[in-house]
Amino acid sequence: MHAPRYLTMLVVALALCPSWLVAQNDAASLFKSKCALCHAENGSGNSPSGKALKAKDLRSAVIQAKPDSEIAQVIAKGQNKMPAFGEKLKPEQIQQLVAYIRQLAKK
Amino acid sequence: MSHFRFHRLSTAIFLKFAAGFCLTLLWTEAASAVPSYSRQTGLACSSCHYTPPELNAFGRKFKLDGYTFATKPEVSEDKKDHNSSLHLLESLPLSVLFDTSFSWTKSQQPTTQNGNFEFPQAASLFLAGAWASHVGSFVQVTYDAQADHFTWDNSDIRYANNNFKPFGQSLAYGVTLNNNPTVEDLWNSTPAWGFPFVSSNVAPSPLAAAIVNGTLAQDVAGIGGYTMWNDHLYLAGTIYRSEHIGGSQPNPGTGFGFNIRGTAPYWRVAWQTSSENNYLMVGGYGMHIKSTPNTVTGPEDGFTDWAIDFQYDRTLPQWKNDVLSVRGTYIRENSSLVASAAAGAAAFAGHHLNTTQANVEYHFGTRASATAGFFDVTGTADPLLFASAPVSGSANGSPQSTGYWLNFSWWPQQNIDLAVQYTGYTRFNGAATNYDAAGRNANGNNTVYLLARFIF
Repeated sequence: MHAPRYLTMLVVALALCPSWLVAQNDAASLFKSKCALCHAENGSGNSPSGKALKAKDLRSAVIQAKPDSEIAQVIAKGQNKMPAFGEKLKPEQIQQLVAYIRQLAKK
Repeated sequence: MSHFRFHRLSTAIFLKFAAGFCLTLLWTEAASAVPSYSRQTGLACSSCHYTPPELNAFGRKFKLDGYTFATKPEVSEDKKDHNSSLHLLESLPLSVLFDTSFSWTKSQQPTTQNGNFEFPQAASLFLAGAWASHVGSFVQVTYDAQADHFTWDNSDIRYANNNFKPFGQSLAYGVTLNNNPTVEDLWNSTPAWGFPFVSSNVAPSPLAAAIVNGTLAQDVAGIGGYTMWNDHLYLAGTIYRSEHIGGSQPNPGTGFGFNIRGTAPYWRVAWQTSSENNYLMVGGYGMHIKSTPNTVTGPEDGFTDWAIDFQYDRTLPQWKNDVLSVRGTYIRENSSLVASAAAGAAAFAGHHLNTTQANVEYHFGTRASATAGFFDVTGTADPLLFASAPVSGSANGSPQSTGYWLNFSWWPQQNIDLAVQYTGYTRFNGAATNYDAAGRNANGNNTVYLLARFIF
């Protein structure tokens, strides 16, 4: 009796899964091309250029404690030596990066 | 220091060589931080340079990644189905450099005026920035006031990528098209980007220089590859052919001292490591060429250069993050000048040349830097290869030159460089006194050089 409901949920889940994966891949690709130069691919900032510019560890409690809006604002407008990406990235791309930064702390 | 190697040809050819190499050397040292990169990235010059043109870790990474990192708007379309993508900067990445200078030597050069004001000494246009998502450039054309024309200068066009991670470690790799061995390099210990970063094009300069030490700058074209593994190990290699700017094509070789036979390989290996306040690179590089002077057939001259180099940068937190840099290189050149000996331009075939250069520089933030360096060139004496001539020649046929540099540069803004430099010689072209058999002493070439550089 409940089979059709489960089936619907499964179909919906399968339908959403690829788009979620694509979003993750987009965010990872975006992070790699725009952020990893300084923050390293794992977000630690432990790259030669990150050390030179004293890039923040994005996985740290200090960064993770900031609200999404503040992280998005730093990405968009820059801060200290970090350049502003607001002209280059769309708002939805910045939101993807914020979500990806949240994921980094869990890895 | 500017250098050039003599081959005794006709007077006209000799003069052409001298002028050409002097210009080459000027231009080799003319490039600096390029503001179009700053406009593209939204970052200040100081993000990439301790002081221009010295790259810090971020600057090396930016170059390694093909000059493509950007934060500014672009015209773009993603790849879809059978359609290619497009990533085009909205603004053309152009920059301008203007150098004006004053040079004074301790002894004036016979029949010429001492104390020379050049306005400009040189002016350059750069096409420097991202061309596509993985392709970027450092391309420079320079106007030289003495020659009164623009010509092609240092150029490095590269493709770069870092999209796979063998053994879980980062791997950046790329392809470079360039016209000067070592211009593709990431450090300031190799010739193209080595100290002194600015110099007079008026003062006499020593006769002898190794092939890899700027002799072929802008006189060759090459294609090569490079890779940086795990942010530590850098490997690069390029093969070059002669490409004489202003010469006819196909190349007849006439009037040019170096006409590469086959291809000339250049190689580079470097290992780097860093901690919070320390950075160290040690490496080696070299080049091998077979060449015929003034023709493209017949007997060949052979040159093989082996070099080692290092760079150490120490950040000093207790001094507001000032940076102390120490750099050095040693080049050993072995040459077999069969063609030159057959043409009467060398007394015999087997020669060697040893070049040592080192310098220490203190960066007062990004506002000023003080540098002291020394150089020493020794090698096989040859009265034909290093022939006697007033001012520029050698009475005893020795290539030995030894001296030092002192330089102070002040950047009132990050794109304006005001420099004062002193070059002193204890030995010039083989001797301390009467080195040219015309009564000139080595210290007669000691030079005071003042430069104002604007780049925007």
